[in-house]
Amino acid sequence: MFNRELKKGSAEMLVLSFLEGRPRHGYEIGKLIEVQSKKRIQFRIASLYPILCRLEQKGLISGRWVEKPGERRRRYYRLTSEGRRVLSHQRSAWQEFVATVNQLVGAKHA
Amino acid sequence: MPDWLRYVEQHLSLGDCPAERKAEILEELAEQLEEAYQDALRLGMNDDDACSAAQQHVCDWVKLADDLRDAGFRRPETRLPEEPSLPKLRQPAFSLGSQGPNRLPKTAFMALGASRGRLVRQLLTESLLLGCVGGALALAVGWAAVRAILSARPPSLMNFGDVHLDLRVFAFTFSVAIFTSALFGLAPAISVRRLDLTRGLKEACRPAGWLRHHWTSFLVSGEVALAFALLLGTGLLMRTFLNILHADPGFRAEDVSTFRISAPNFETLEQLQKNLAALPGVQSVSAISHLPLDDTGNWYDYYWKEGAPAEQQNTVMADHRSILPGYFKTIRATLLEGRDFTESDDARHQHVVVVDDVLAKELWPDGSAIGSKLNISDSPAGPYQFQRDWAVVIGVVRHVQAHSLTAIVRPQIYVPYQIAPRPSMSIVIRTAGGVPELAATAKKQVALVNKDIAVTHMEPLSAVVVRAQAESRFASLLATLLSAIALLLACVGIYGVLAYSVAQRTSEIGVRMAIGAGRLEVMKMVLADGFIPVLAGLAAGFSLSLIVTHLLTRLLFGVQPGDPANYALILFILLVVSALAALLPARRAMKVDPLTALRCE
Repeated sequence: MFNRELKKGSAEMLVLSFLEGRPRHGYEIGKLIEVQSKKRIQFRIASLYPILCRLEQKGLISGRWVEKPGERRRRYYRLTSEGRRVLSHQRSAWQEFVATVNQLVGAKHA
Repeated sequence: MPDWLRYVEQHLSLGDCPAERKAEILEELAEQLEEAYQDALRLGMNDDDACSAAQQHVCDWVKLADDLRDAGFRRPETRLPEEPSLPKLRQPAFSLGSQGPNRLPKTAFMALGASRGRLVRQLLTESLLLGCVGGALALAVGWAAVRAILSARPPSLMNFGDVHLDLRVFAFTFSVAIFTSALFGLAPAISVRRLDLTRGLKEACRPAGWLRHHWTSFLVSGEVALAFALLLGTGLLMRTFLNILHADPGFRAEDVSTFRISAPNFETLEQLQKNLAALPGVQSVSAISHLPLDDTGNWYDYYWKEGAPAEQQNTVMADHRSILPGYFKTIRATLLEGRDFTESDDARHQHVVVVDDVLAKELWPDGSAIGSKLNISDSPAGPYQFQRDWAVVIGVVRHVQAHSLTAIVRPQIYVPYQIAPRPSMSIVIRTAGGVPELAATAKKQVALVNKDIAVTHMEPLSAVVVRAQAESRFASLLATLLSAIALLLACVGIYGVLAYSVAQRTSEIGVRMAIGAGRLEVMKMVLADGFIPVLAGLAAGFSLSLIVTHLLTRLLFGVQPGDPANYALILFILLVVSALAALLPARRAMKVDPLTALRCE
């Protein structure tokens, strides 16, 4: 399991990146993060839902209720254009940060 | 199947969140719990375990509420369900005490997440901001005060140059404001650098004991000591200026009118004196070369008594006054010994002189001056034709204040006009109450005697006295204002420091009350504790006052530096202020709910 602070810092970026392809509902996002990280990152509802609220408040995602035949009503979130821009920026900053840390860690062991 | 929506509704209150948004949040959370529940069932769990698994997702509702608040909703609240609808589910473990850390020291609050450098910057910013606002307010008050004071200043102070607020005043004011702000902002900032977070958080509910910190005691004592010395000094100055306003000048100016005439001779003066005395309502008329407290060019010279050795002949100086008979009676100066002049005291007879008691005591300390001979300078041949002459002292009059209301600059000798004529004289007329049209009538009488005589400076003698009092009155006004400011600052300062110290004991007082202490006992305790530094301050202030009063000695009039009434008054004021400063917050502290106080402990 990853460090809580690390997870907290990158949580918004994770949520945004899982909405990049298509709209998803909240529980689905949490499950995807859990599955794709092989359970090394887990978001409970109490953690995930405020993140969704905050992102929606910032205008990076927008939610809408969707009702499908035979299913319960669910709230789906999609990335807004502003969200897409922020994700792109966060992603490049994250990659730069990781590359720098890798470089430093590698240099230390060299 | 559990009713998740109802469960969420009962466990999470979103306060003043808009109803529509609230419904969305509750529904979405319920939907996600349902998803988690269904997932658990799919994994083969039984119904109870699936419920527990779903509930685990939101095991901390308090944190969820806080996170939602951070996500942009104001004041979400959590509440316990009144009737748990899901008895199978474990209740989320949370508690939100009503007391909360609402009295957490600010620094500890900030230190929860801020760096020490940030805290120091924050404290300094606050102090400097307060200092600048205070400085700006002080300048505004100063600007208004300067205008008010300048409009009240007497004519004698008009030549002190233009007094106004300029760049230097601005620079000085803001320098002082910023310096003091930085100084008093740095003190807590430095303590923040040594801040013990654990202790800080503990003290949120259990504040420091009464004056535990030495600096608080020191502040109270210092404030009281400075206030004592300051108030004592201003009290003495106020008494001084009030005494000056009521000082006896040696004559009675009421109902006396005066005017100045030029180039007379004795016959003209004598005729004018008779004519004016004959007017209805006029009691007496006379003339003098220099009115008391007037700013006419003064004449003075050396005088010595008969038999004085040569080395003592130029040691005693006195003001020289030329008068007509009846002057002392007209201004109601007190003739202590001998007689006034008469018309026959002229150059052809024995030259005579009247001296004041100051000169009499100086030259004849052991006996009466009457009949003694005094070497004077007179001018029987005409104005400015001075000669030394021996005159016999025929009267001793009480000293009349000539230059100021308080200081005796020189003694005075009075010489009859016939042997000391002057180019101009001031006529003094005492009337029985107000005489209508006296000025016009007097001018007419002067014109009747000699139409070439100019009449100037027509005014009541009391106006001369008022002019002499003007500086003292102005100084008295300033001293009163400064005293009032000193008293206000002292009261606010003592009250602030003491009240803060007592307020720090609020929970302790509450606990004492809770375990049975009576109001009287608590009052006694607060007063006893509060008065220790106050009494120490009074003792220090007493020592300080000895220096202050010593420095003021030369400025005082009619009041002694160690005046017991002044000490008693200042002591009374400071004790009352200190008692109020300790008791008012103590009363508030006693109203604290003992249960709240106990919870804090």
